[in-house]
Amino acid sequence: MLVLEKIQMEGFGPFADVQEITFARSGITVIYGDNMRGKTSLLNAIRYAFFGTVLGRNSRPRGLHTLSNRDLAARGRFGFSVALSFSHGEERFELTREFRSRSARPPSTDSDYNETKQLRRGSQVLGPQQCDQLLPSLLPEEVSRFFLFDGELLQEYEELLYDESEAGRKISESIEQILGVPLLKQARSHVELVMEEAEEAVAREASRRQETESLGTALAQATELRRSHRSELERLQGQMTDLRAERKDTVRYLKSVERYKELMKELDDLRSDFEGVVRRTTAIVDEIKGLMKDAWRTLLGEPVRRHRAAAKRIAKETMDSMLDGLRKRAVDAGLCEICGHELNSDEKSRLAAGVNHLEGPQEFTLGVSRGLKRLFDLEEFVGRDVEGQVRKLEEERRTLAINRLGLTDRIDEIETEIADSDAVTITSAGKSLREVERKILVVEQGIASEQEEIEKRDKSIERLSSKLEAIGTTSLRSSQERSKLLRKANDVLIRAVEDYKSELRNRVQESATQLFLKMTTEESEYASLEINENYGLDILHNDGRREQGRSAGAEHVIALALMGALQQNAPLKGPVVMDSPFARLDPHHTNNVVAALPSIADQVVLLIQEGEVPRTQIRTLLGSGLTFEYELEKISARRTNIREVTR
Amino acid sequence: MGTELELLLAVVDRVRMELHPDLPQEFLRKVLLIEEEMGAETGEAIKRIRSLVTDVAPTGKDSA
Repeated sequence: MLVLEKIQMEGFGPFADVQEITFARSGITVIYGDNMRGKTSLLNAIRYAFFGTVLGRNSRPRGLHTLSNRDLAARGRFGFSVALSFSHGEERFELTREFRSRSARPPSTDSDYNETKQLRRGSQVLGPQQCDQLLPSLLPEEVSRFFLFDGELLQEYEELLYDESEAGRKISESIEQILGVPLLKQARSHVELVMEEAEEAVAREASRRQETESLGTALAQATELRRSHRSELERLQGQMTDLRAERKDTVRYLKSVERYKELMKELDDLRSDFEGVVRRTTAIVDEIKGLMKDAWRTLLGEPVRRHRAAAKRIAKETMDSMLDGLRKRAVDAGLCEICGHELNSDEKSRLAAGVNHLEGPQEFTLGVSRGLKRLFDLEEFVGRDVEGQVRKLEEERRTLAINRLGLTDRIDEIETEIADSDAVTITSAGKSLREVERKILVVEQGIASEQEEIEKRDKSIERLSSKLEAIGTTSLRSSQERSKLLRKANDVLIRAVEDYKSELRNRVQESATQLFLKMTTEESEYASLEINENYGLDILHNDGRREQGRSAGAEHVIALALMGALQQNAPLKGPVVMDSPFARLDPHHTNNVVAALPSIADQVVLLIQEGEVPRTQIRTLLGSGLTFEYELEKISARRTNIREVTR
Repeated sequence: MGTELELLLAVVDRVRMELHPDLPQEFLRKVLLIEEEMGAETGEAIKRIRSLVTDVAPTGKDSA
């Protein structure tokens, strides 16, 4: 069993500085990260270490040159390295891949880079050839979909339900590979070949002897004919593989054409959004510049506030003492000096009671008027909250910068996707699909008729061989024995392939059902899953009804059940690394799936956005099954650090 | 891969007992071992199975 131990990345996607994760050898490692923080990059880093490739949207291979950290690239450092430690059985391995730019010029394609890889087994460093031989046997790329996947890949398992589906055929081949069927199939075809050789040898020898000459010649003719039919069959099968691949490419292309219009629309929208973002950013920058002219005032805010309070106090005291003086002089003169009113004794005594004998100017002076003006100036001066406004604008500018980055990425992606689509190729692709389908039909008929011919020859060879045996020529005994032995071995292997497959199917069905019932929220409604020839799984209701029109969420749960079932039954076992697999699930299903993770594989690495499941809930659901938690921490839009979360 | 081979051998042997109990178990076991060892090396696998047949199948002389 393959177990991940540690990964170290540098310059890979958002991981600019060296970042490291130690995986739990058994149990669950959870890595939390918001969108665009690097969850998919982390999955791709593991994929890159094992296979030297990475996948983009729609599970398409993505150029490695697009993975260099942008921050480092802006400073002229292109490329990255990934080091992965893992164990297989008793042996420990250390696999390092480095992807570095060949020259100082900014690289633009994968060929502008050099890749070096090194595999260490224990303390022994393996040569490149050994490495290329060993790696695929530890984890073949063809079966990587069962170990490294995201929600999008889970959706593909639906194809297994349709007999004609090309994608389904491919997945079912991968399933057989992980279950070990190819070894048996290969042994069968090799034994068959050697058996035919042995039969030909018997025929040759028999035709050389008088008593067996006619039988020998007939046998030689039959084996000769079978050989020519067999080689024709091989040719047709090869042609069929090519045609199927061509059909697949064309269908994929036409599908992309269907998407072409959608993408063009999306691209238009994105571009106008992008322009909007650029316009708003420029406006914000101008606004900030304008505000910054007065920013120095903010620095003076506090002293000005203090002075303003003091000035207010002084102004009040001055006004009070002036009024005091006015009252005092009116009492003394018996006359108001403002309006000339003569005061009677009553008014005099009332005013005299109000006199406080305050210190300060008793008359209106120019100083007072200046002081008051200064006070108004200060009021206006601190009235503008520049700091708050600038902070708000800066915040908005930062959000816009992140949006802009997201928009650029998506625009790049779409532009690459639609780069090779134009009206002429679209029309010719439609025509060539019809042509390919016609050819496939013809080749299919050819294959069937060749198989029929081979079967006929087989029977006549068997008949002739028994006749020869009945004659009992001693000199033929040896080659006859060989031929008989091989025929029996061939019989056994033919049946063994079928038996083994059907046994595995039953076991996968059984395990998948158990996992499915654990994860579904309708366990009282559903009875089991039923597996078909392609390993597709149908849901059976308690009343025997087959579930029709499954939702995307149900599809995910079934796919996860299949993954778990394969891990339980396949000889090739390994870690399961899943990236945001819960996006299509409701909270109930999500909880059930999280709780069932320990039964899916011995080692599970879950990359998740906390919006899918909050970490407190993950902890409750997994309990002691949760071994390590990490967090993808944003340093800047183009930089992420990995931090272990301690509880 | 060890477990895989054990599984395959168990199935192959069961089918052998059912179809041709006289067929040497050792022969099939060796064929599967060759397949596992050779991986994608089809030519080499065939060569080794060929020589294995000569070793395992009784020769004309012996039976005579």
